[in-house]
Amino acid sequence: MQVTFKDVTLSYDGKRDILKHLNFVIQEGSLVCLLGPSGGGKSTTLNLISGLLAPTGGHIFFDDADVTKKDALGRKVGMVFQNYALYPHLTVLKNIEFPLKMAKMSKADRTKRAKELAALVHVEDQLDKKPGELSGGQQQRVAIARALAKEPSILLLDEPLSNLDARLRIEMREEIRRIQRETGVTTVFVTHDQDEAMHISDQIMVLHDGHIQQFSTPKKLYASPDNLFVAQFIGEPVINSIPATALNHDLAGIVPDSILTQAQTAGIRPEALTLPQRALDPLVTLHGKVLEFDQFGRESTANIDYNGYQLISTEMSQLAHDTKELDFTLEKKGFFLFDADGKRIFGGDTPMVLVGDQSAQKDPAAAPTESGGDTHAE
Amino acid sequence: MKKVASILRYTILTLGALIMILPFFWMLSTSLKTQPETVQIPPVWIPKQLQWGNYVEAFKAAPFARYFVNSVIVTGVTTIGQLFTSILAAFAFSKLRFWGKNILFLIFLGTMMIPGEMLIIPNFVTLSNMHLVNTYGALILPWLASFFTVFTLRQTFNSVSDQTYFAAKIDGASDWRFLWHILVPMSKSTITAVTVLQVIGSWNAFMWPLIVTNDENMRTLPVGLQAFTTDAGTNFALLMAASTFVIIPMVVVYIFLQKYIIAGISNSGLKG
Amino acid sequence: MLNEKPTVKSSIKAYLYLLPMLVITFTFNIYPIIKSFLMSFYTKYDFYTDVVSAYGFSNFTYLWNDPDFHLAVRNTLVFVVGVVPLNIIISLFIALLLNKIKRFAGAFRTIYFLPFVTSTVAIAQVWNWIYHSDYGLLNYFLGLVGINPINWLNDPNWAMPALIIMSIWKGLGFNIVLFLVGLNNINTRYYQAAEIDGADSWHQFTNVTLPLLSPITFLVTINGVIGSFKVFDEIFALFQGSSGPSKSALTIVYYLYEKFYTEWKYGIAAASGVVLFFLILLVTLIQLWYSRKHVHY
Repeated sequence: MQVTFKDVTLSYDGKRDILKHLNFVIQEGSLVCLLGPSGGGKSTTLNLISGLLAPTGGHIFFDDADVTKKDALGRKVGMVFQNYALYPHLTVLKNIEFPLKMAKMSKADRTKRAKELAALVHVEDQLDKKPGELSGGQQQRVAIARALAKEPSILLLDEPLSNLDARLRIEMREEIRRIQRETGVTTVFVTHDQDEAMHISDQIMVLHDGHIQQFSTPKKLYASPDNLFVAQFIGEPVINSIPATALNHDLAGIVPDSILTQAQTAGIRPEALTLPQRALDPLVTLHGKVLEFDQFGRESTANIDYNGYQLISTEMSQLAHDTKELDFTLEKKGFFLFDADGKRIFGGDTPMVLVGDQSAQKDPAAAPTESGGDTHAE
Repeated sequence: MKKVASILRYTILTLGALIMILPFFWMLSTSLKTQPETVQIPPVWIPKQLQWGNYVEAFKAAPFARYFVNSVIVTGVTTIGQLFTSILAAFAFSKLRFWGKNILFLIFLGTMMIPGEMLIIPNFVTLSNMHLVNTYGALILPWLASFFTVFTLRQTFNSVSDQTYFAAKIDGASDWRFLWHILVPMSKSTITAVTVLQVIGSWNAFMWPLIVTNDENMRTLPVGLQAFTTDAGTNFALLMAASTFVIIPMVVVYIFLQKYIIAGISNSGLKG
Repeated sequence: MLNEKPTVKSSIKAYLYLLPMLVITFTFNIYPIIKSFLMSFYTKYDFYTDVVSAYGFSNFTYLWNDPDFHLAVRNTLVFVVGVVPLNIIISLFIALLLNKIKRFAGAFRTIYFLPFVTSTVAIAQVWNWIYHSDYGLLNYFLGLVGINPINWLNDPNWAMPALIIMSIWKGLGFNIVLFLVGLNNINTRYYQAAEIDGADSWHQFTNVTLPLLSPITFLVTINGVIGSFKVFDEIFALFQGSSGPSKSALTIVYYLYEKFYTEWKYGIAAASGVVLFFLILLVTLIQLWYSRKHVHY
């Protein structure tokens, strides 16, 4: 089912809008993550899709049908809640059967269907247990099976992994991906964990402050953040952001003046700062002092002082640890400039027009549009 | 030291338990004595020959069978009825949206402050005007709803998350089905506790049945027993036998459902 | 929906769920509350036709001047003061002991709680028999330690103590259960901390147990006071349908019962109910005021 939001606004108290004029289309069969810090409107958006919340303004469409006025049942959504909301007094089998029983399916049919679903989510050996006897991961699986039982138009998951421990979380997110692929059901998934979102989604919608900050593929989100918020929210370690003026001297004559004068903040991915001999597509060479090296597991970072600002790089592990000063390269990929409103005006998939760079002017399509993906941080 | 303290504890507790149990023991013992044995000094602890005939005699001496049936009917209907009205109301207060919810709830909380004894007079007048005095109606009707029960159940229903309510709605359950298929089974232990406490309360109720029943045929067991004391006079063996069969049913209920009663008391005590 | 305001439809639906309960409570709780306040001002009232021909304060002036009512109030207060503190001290003591032991704790609790589930009327017959002046068990035990027989139920000086003893016996179990819940809820870490700080068991009791138990103690006190103010069944059954020798066990509710049921003085009975309500309210408010200073939530 394709989900379309047209100008959807929501306010709880009639004064302050929680969501402001939301417009988006979720493609049929895709797995979409709603990502953002808490209070950003992700769960609210999910509840608007589900029909548990009614918008204050605007329209919601499932395919071509306007479902704005319909409740959750009318929209035929399947939902997995954060605490799973399994019925504790019913067995696993009865839990999965419950929506079918409510739909008045015959007992034989619903048992058959429930068993198929239990097999799909790998809980077929737990059918006679009560939810309280299951582990968190198993409860999660049952909740997904129950949500899928009535062949929902869309499957909604509200922070389904937040109650699981770290190892199980990774296992379950792969499971959710697998189940989604096997069933092909359009799936919307709320999380505040960017890592989770980056790993399983076809598309990610970053929500903050009641607005969609960006809605695109994980790769693009990383390689071409639309604004400073997205750039800072996505990526680990966090992108270096320094006032653009700090770079003015080094960028003058390379980045056009028209852009430089507008630029307020520069964002530099930690992997975009590298040693000159390893540079792939350098923009400019900078000079700075090494402050310290840190080693975490297989990751290592270098702290560099540049014009009085600290920059973190992940690409300098080979550097001798007694290095005091050095020249280093700023790569094109992973370098962005943002204007006073936080909007990206340079870098990413914006055609990179450099001073004296004729080829880019002639052929903007050659700009590295979807390039960030292959280096994006694990 | 520790051992001494422990022995001391058990000694005190055992003594206390003996005092608690003694009236029950004395009741049973007396009920099985011959008339002369009851007044013997020093007291006879265990009668030489157990006079089971006392029970038969006591049972025939007054219409106890009728009282028993009355008590069963009144307790049963009151408990089931009250449970039904309270479950519905508690569900509305816990999960439904309606105008006047908070005000209504506050009014009911306020009424819990009023001593029930104050209501006896107007209720008696109401029921006389309805010509219900000396009927089951008078014994049952006023107790078919209890805000205390509503309040207790609402607390329990509130502890079932709204997520579960929404999950059931999404699964296609109507409010009615959600209530009876999900909420009630999930609240089983509280409902059992409330039920058992209500059964005990109804069975033992005295003042109200005393007031609304003049007719011997409508008396409940406690009222019947009280009336019987005059007839029994100094025949303590018979009186104790009669007391025993008023007490026994609730003791049986207590022994089997003890954990629910204790849980019910603890909950209502802590929340109330 | 989550953010839905109550609508006509949702309200109608909710009131359908509330309806059975509302019908009963309005008829037998809300209306009678109003009515009994009104009734206390009825001075001329025909019960058969439910017609009131005069209102006034004379019911209250009657109570003000009635020595029986004064006696009833005094007896009620004596009963409350006699039962509640003793009951609390004994039940707390038993609960503390039960909380310390491991074996048989459940069995002991079962026994101590047993009187609570038994019919007051039935068990009062047993106590009536135990209190018997000639053949009663209690006088026999007293005789063993050289105390002369007491005419418990016919001596006006002993009727109230007899009532109090039986009421404490019957009410202990309820309070023990509540205290046990309270004791269970006290985190053992507090005791560990106190022990590290060098507190002996008496200091642990006064500095940890009592303060942390104070909400339960408060609850038990309120419960006990309200319940004791309304004592009736015990008296009726123990003194065989009378208020004791020389009305020595006449309490407010018993007074209300007599005025209403035997003397048919509805206005006066209703007025005594109103006085009872305000007495309970007053005492409850005093306790609330006290608890705000001394109860540690």
